[in-house]
Amino acid sequence: MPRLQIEGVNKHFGSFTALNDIWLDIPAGKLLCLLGPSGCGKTTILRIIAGLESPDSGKVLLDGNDLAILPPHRRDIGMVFQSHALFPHLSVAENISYGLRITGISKSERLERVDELLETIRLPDAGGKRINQLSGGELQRVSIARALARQPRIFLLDEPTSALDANLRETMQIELRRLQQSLNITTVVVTHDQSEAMTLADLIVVMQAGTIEQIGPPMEIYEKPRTEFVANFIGATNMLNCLWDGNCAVLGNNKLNIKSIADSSLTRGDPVKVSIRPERVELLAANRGRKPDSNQLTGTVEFVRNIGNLVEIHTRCENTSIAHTYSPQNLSTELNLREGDAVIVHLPAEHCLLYSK
Amino acid sequence: MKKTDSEFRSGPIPGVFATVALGLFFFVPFAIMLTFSFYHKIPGGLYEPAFEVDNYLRFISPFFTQILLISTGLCSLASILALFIGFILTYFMSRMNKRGRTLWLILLVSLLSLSEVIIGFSWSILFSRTAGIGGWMYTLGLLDAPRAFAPGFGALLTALTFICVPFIVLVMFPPLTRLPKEWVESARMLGATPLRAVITVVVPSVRPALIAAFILAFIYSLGSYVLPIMLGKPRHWTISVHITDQALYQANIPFASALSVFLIVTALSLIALISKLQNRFT
Repeated sequence: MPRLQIEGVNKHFGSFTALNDIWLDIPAGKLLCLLGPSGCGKTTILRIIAGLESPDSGKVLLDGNDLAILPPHRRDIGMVFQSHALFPHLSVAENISYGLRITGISKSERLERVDELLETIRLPDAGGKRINQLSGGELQRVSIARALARQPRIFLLDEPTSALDANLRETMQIELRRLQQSLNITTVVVTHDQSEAMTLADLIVVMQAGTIEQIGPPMEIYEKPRTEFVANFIGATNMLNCLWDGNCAVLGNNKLNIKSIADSSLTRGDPVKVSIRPERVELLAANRGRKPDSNQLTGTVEFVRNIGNLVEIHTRCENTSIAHTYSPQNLSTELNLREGDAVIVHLPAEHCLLYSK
Repeated sequence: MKKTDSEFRSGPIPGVFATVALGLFFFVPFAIMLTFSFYHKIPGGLYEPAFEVDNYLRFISPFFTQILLISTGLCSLASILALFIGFILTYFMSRMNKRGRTLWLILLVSLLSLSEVIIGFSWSILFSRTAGIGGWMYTLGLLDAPRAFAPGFGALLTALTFICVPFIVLVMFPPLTRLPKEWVESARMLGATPLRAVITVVVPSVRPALIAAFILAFIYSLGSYVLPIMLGKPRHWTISVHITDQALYQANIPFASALSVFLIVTALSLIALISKLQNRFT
């Protein structure tokens, strides 16, 4: 399996900067997710790899060879489009075998390969169907089979599950990940859905406004978001507006110790933001005359909801709402809180992340 | 109570109006023509009521069979050429930005506003010996002596193709601009060259529109009168020219009527075919 590298790619559309100095190295057989809001340039990267757009500068290398000289049809890259782009005038089997026919593979071999792929996508009897007879999930599977029919060196998917409803989307994400692992094919997926990225990826690239914010394995991105944007974009987080007093952050009258501070340029009085995931926040009973310890704030519960697998409690402290979540299976360890209850909110220093404004 | 707009639309007035208009301007003249086509011609430019099929039987004479063959052959050829040029032009237009598309559409629609006489005259100048292509080719050393290309089959075919192209573009423009650009792109990702992607994906996807455009161009060129006279020799005359010739110069109204009935029936059958095909594909 080949290794895909992107070196210093820039792309402008008129005065709009779509990509600004992008560097990526995708190890052979791995799945990389480009994650970001719409318009951040992730689809442009995919189209540059495919050859459907050309970069203003920079290179795309496949196993060290520059792809610039190859037109899209000679790059040997399989691509699944967001709209599926299946051909409505052809049947399912004809769609899957389209690329094989172009390559000049014999009819018997084509039929064999199509049957094999229909088995893989678990639609063994769909070969004769028309495209407009397929459901959303089936369309998705057929477009994946068609892209994989020619056994491409690289597999690209643009928002593969965005057209599906929530339940089907999760099933498809799991199927897609299994398929990619079984084929061991170097894959790039574009998505704006962070849970899709977490499910699929070996590596996540978080992008914003044409630049890369952070690259890393999913849990690293989740646990150690390098910027405020990443922290907000991946999962839910509490973002607290504080001031820097030289060695800790101050929220109202409370001091918040932070374990690791990356930014050494901060000076006393600088506005900073402290981020902590809701599941890392701890709530303690406030009714036993207990005084708040370090990193502990007193507050009042203002909202409680139980959505079955998760209980979410919002507490107001120092004019800021802090969300806390826990799994209801751990109910015994939690306080039975209601709106209006006084509570102590603990923000453990090792889970607090600091961002300068 | 005052009637609302939609009540008017669903009421009997539009239907009655359409029926009256169609009856007055189409069925009545057609019925008169159909009646005349069975009349008997009296030498000297007159005719008398009769019911004879002689005028229709003349279609199977070698002379008129040849006229029909030349007429339909010429118009088919012009329509195919126009379809080819129009399709390529529209495909490139569909890939332009909005501004480029609008400019081309304005240009093509303004071509439609030109009368056939002006178009025929322009082409006859272009194909003339002194001022046109023949003269330029002589100047460039491609011809030994300046020559005229009109009247002639090539000149007539060119002009007929020219007047049909805007119609092809107008029919092909909506389906081609609506065609998702990902279809061609996905064909390219599956190994197809740009040309192959167009032939295997775009053409089959817009097949009903292509058929409709061809038939429209064919009917339009079949009805062309000025161009064959200005740019063709008598043996290239289309059926419309022969109708005029029979009616005005040969003073044979019954036979001219029979030819007209034939032209209308052909055109209507083709239109019926279009709508049938379009219903089937949509």
